[in-house]
This record gives sequence, structure tokens and C-alpha cells, in this order.
Amino acid sequence: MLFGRYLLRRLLLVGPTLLGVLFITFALTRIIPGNPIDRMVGFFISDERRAEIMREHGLDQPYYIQFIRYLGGLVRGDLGTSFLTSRPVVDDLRQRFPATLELTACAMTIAVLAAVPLGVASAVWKDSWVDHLGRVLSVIGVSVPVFWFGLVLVYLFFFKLGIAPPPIGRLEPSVVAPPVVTGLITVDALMARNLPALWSGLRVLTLPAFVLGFAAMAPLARMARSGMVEALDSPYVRAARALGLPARTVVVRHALKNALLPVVTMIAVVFGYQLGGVVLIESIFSWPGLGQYAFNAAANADFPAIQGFILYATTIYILLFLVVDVLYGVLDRRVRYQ
Amino acid sequence: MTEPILQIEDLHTGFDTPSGTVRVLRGLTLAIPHGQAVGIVGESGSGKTVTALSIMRLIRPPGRIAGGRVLFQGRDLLALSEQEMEGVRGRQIAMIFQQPRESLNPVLSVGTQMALVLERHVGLMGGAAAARSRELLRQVELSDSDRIVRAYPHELSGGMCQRVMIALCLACNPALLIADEATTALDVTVQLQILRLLRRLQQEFGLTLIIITHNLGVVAELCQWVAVMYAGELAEFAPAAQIFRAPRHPYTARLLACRPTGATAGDLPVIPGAVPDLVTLPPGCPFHPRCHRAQAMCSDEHPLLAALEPDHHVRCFFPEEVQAWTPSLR
Amino acid sequence: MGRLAGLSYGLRRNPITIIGLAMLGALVAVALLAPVLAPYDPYATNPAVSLRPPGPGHLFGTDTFGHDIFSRVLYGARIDLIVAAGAVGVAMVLGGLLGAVAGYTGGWLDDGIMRVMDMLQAFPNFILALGIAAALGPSLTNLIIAIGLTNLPIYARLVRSRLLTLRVSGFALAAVSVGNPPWRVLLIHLLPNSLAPVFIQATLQSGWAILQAAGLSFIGLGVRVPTPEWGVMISMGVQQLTSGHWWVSFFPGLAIMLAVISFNLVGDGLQDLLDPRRR
Repeated sequence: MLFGRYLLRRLLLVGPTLLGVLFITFALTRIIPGNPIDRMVGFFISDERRAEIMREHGLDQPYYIQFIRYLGGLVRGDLGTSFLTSRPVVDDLRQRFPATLELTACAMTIAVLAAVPLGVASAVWKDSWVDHLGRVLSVIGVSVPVFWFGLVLVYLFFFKLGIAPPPIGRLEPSVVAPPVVTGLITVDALMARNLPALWSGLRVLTLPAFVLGFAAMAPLARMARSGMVEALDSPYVRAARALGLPARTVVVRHALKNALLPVVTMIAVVFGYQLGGVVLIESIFSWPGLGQYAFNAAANADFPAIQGFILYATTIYILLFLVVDVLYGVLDRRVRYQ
Repeated sequence: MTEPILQIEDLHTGFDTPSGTVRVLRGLTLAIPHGQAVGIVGESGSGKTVTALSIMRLIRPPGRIAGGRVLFQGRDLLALSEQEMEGVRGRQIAMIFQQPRESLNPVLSVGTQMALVLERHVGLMGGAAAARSRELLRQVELSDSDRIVRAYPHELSGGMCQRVMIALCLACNPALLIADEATTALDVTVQLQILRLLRRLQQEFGLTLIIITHNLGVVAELCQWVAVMYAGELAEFAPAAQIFRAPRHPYTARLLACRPTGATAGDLPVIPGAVPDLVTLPPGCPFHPRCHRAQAMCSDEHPLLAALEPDHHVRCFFPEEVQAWTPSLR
Repeated sequence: MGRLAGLSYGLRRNPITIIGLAMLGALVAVALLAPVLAPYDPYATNPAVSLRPPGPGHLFGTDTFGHDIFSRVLYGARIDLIVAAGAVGVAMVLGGLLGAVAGYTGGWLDDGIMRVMDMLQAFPNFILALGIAAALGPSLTNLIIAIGLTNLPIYARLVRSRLLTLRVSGFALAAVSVGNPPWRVLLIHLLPNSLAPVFIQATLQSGWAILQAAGLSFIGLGVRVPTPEWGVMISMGVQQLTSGHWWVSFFPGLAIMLAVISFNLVGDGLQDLLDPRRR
């Protein structure tokens, strides 16, 4: 089976990459100047006590032993204990994951729904006003600092106009949260038939999701545009036109699928931007997700938490790329032969 | 000459570039006789493909058709709206291209691509379309039609892809089929099969064929008429037999004279000098810098197309004399 | 058509690139002339004029400490341009060299270098920068290193792929065959021929670098308060926003956006010039 072999090859590639990621993450806190212990306990400590702590954490061992121990811990699901919350980092991350998932999924939906029509229209009506509008939005989208954009919108829609709910958490304060099932507030509210919570959840989501989505839209729209331009320039589109297929059919049935293939890959790339973006955005909206956790950890030099977050986010990112590759194999049968 | 199905009159097509407009077609005039196979030959850059794309009105910016008329069964195609033109393409005039595999959509199965065309032109859907697809594939001598309907272009050979393209064209039952270097990218044996298929279809369906090629062997195999193009103009137009026996334009004579072997072989030979720069054409006859018969007036005045015999048109002040010129240059 | 004629034609056809160039020029001028243009010392605090709204005395208003925001935005151009130039320089030089070595030698060295690049690129960009910055500790130099290392694989890949095609090209073979040592061919003949795409990438990347620097500083992993860096200035205004003092964050953010836009416009324009098909 060609597809099976393609899948297997992709899976085998993930292993070494993941190991490399682990190594770099490990190296970040051990090899780079500045002993983590110093950061952990400060400089004003007796040498004996210091050595004791080093021993406790296995930091007196050679690096390769430390790395193997670190891997062993990971296998057991141990990412260390947060200095800040005094809880296992894994538990913290797991608890905060749904909030970030809900936010990024909404943002990505907004981005894709806006970017694909915009990109396609820009390519079909090249150099028209749509194309120019698309260009302007794209340039602004890749140039605006998301956290500042978030602040500006909060100021405008919450403080000035009073339309948006306050940027504090995932529900408005007056609303009773639905029982936690999936951790996604909107889904949980739906399952509990708690319509006020659903409405409030969506209202609160709107602003941060729009901010993240706007930043993600630009690269997606660009990709959709260039994919469409290329498709419309291709021999098969020319042949389809020569067969008398009307422009609409050619665009929708012939060009679109080809044009959207690169967009699928771009979604994974953009998701990577978003994982960075949530670190900046969530703190502004007091969104209790991974990003806010990373922000607090960074502000307080909580190394196990930072390290755990980096690993967690990167693993999600790598897995998403795997999913996209598989999806690509389903959509475009040619890649299976490569 | 039978009644023409297509008449090209004074066709001008150019491409706008930073350094000026490249005038690829400069007043092309050509009549395609009904039910016949006409070969258009010439070096690359002589405007063969642009001629085909201009007929189909598939010239895309920065290219544009600057003037002239293309009369198809008496109707000027250049005056039609884009929507009307969509009704002409495929249904009246179909075209196959040089890269057969690239001309099929890589992410759609052959069956899907055929269904789109059948739905558009014949109104067939679902099972009826599938049945008709398989029938069409058998007509182009693809026996394993059940498998091919489900296949994707990358799973088929170049020759099979070109057969699929021909089947797609037949689906619309056109009167005129343009084949632009349709066999160039294929193996020699496959080339021959495709040519025979085209000839069979021409006879069976009374198709008119325009065969664009730089391969004189293809012309000899298939065509009743030959049009020789040079620098965006018609240099010579005559029945194939006559051209091969007694070419009158020095350019045609050179092409034929340098052929390595008999009447059916080989690509266009190399003629000293290069195709002129279409932005800054020399005055006079465009061929004069490379012409062995050129005289003083050739560099000043532009020759007109003249009928030396009723069916034999040549654009030259000093055409080759019949039988006087022997291929001594070989 | 000459190269210059092509360039000027391309620019004329693309007025947006000219706008970008003008914006970039203005940005550099502001950075250079900040001491002349700024009406106040960017570090001077003055509790008497705390949180003044934008007006004649203070064009962009003042923050909690009475800093003149206009002066600080002007000085911010210096810091953010230094970070951008430094980070992109680090990435370009290190990445370019690694890519050159990989592309020129091939074999296990090539494999090894490119595997490491793969690993670096497996991280979401900003998160890797965050990790490095957190490990190194907050300072201007570390900020440059963090962003530089994060963006290094792009240049390594770019130079490597250019070299792979150039290595087998006629003039490289000719240079070797007349007895030039390989390193000389690499340095004198091949690298300069890989530079155009690298510089275009560097222009686009500078915009990214500014965004990343501002983001890291906003988190507290870049330069620190009270340095007049745009990201830090935004973070200083977050608390003020709730009390309606929008200007503290607004103007530095606007400056970031304009700076990044200018880099992007110029980078896009250059890319179009090099590869007109892209349009």
C-alpha cells in the first residue's frame, strides 16, 4: 500500500525530530551560561547548601546522565514542578490546554474563513480593488504587534464603546460556568444546554479570537492568492478553458483544490505563530490558557514551567504538521510517490 | 480549395514587456479548408502557438490581440463576448496541447474531468456521463477504460494522457481540432500512434485539423496543406504535396533542403542566423538577413503574399524557380 | 535591458515599494537624529507631568513617571533597529556560513548541519526565541542572540540551496578547473552569487525581528524598564489603559507597526523585482 508506506515514513521522521527538540530544550537550561540553580535559589546561599540542592536535582552528574534522566522523567510524564504553583507542570499544562485550544481553534476558523475567499478573489480579480484591499490587509496583518492590537481593541470596544465584555477570563463574571466535561466552555455549555453560558462564552471569545485570527489571516490569504494565481496560470486550467468550461467552473472545480493544497500546510505554520501569539494575547485578556501560564512563568523565572510549556507547545506543533502531511497525502495522491 | 471553415484575416497579437511590445503576430492571414488537415510549421518564436491561442481567444495578459478578424463559419470570434466564446470553445473548436500530463488536472480523476465537460456541453450527469466517458475512451483506443476513468493523470503515461485529452475534445463533438505540438513530448512510437488516431478521427468525424508542429515528419504523415510561418507572418501556403515537391519560398526550401533523410523524418533543421527580434524587426522582408536569394530591395520593401498558382501563396520577391533549384546545399 | 533600467522600471511600476523605501529612510533618519529631534531626555522622569494626554507640550503625552512619550518613541527607533539589525546580522552571518559549508561540502557535514536546522525549525518560532531568551536572561545582547538563533535556519537553507545549484554551474567549475582552491571559489565566486535572495529575506526578517523583540520585551524577557524600547513601552501602558490613558501604549505600538510595514513593503518589492512571476 503506497499510502501506508507514505504514512509510515512520515511517522518515522517524527522520532528524530522530537528527540532533537527534547535535546535543545534540555540544553537551554543546562549548557547555556548561568546555572539553573542560581536562577532557582539566588546567589546568596552557602556552598554546602548549594551542592546539596545540586545533588538533589541530579545536577552534579555529567550532562549525558542528566539528559537520560530527563528523558526518563518525560516518559513517566514528569516535567518537573513549577516554582510558582508548586504543582506538577504536566498537571498545570493539561488543565490549561482546553482554554488555549478553544481560543486558537476559533481564531483559526475566523482566519481561514476570511483568508480563503479573500485570497481567491484577489487572484481571480488580480489588480482589482479586492486584490488591493487584500494586499493592504495582509501587510497590516503581518506587521501589527498582536498584543498591541489586542490592547487597542479592548480599549475601543470595552472601555470606550462598552460593546465587548471585560477582558477577564472565559466567561462574564455574572454567568455560572457549565460543568467541565471537555474543558471547552462553549462545548460544555452546549452539552449542559446552558444557553446563557454559551452566549457569554462566545461573546468573550470574540475579541481575542479576532485579534489572533487577524494576524493569522495575512499569511493564509497570501498563500491562497499565490496558489490560485499559479493554478489559473497552469496548463490544466488553460486546457479546461479550451474545452469551453465557463470561468466559474474552472475556478471552482479545477483550480480551487490545487490552490488550497498549500493553504493546508500554511495552516500548520500559522498555528505555530498562534502558539507564540497566545503567550502575548492571553495575558491581556486574562485568558487562563497555556499562554498566560508561559507569560507568568517567564515573568517569574519559573524554569520548569517554561521548559514544560515549550515542550508541550512544540510537540503539539510537530503533531499538527504530521496531521497536515497525512491530510495532504489524502488530498493530493501525487505526494505518496515522492 | 474547399470552402474554408476558418479564416484568419490580418491578425495582430502582441505581448507588452518592459522593453516594448513584442509583436508576435503581424498581420497573419490564413484560410483553413473544411475537413482537411493543415500543418502550421516554423521555428520556435515564429508565432505558431500564439496563432492557436488567438483563435481560441486564450491569450492572457500581458498578451493581447491587437487587431484583425478570425472568422469561424462566417462568425468573427474576436467580436464575440467572453460568454459566447465559452460556447465556441470545446463545442466548435477544441485544442490539445504540448504537455499532455500537465494539461490534465493533477488532483482530479480522469472520470471527474470528463464528467465536467460532458455536463457542460452535452448535459450528461451521473451514470450516463460515466458510460459516455468510457465509450469516448474506447474511441481513442484506450481499452482499459474502467481503470482509466478512476485513474489520476500521474498514474498514466504521456501517450495515455494525450488520448484522454483527445477524448475530452471528442466529448464536445467539435468541428475543428487544433493540436499544438501534441506529439512532441512523446516517444517516437507513441507519436505515430497518436498521429494515426488523429487521422482516423479526422476521417470518421469529418474533423478539420490544425496541426502545429516543428516536425516536418508529422506534417508529411498527416497533413493535406502546409502553412509555413516566419516571424509572425505567413511565408508560404500550399497543398502539402506541392510544398514538399516544389517549395517556392527560400525559407521553406532551406527547411526542406537540409532535412537529413526522406520526406517523413526529422525536426526542423538549423538554418544559419537566428529568428529576428520581434521588438526591433529589420525593415523589408523579415527573412532577408538569412536569405541566400536576398537582393537589395529585400532589405527595404516588405513583400506581400502572392498567389503564384491558384492554391500556392508565397511572400517573396524572388521565389525559388520550380525545379531550377536542386538541393545542392546538402 | 540593463539591470538598472529594469530596476527603475520595476520601481516605477510599483509605487508602494517607493513608499516603503521612504518610510524606511525616515525610520533610519529618526534613529540617527533622535538626540536632535527629541524635545526631552527619554529617561528624564518628572512626577509633575505624570500621565498628561497628548498635547502641545508633550506631543504623544507622558507616562506614569512623566517620561515624554514622543521622545521615547524616537529613541525607541534606535533600540529596535539595533535589535533588528543585530539579530538579522547574527542569523545571516551564522546561518549563511553554516549553509555555505553544508552546501559546498555535502556529505555527512551537510546532513548533520541540516538536521540541526530541522530541529530548530521544529519549534514554533516565537516560542524558541522565548526559550533562549529565558535561558540567557533579559538584556539587549541576549535579545539579539535569541532572535538571531531562532531565525538562523532560514538563511542556512537559502544559501545551501543556492550553492547546490551554483556549485554545478559553469563558472564554478571553470574557477576550480583553473586551479582556484575550493574555499576561494566558495568565498569569492559562490557566496556573492547567493546574496540577492539572502538580502531580500533579511529585509523581510527585520520586520519579524522587531515584532519578536517587542513581544519578548513585553513579556519581560527582552530589554527592561525604563529602556525606551517600543515593546517595553507598550507593557508600561497596559495598566494605564484601564484608567483611560490610552496614549501610553498606543504610540509605541503604532511605531512598531509602521516600522514593520516599511520593512515588509521594501522586502516584498525587492522580491517582486527579483522574481516578477510572483506577482
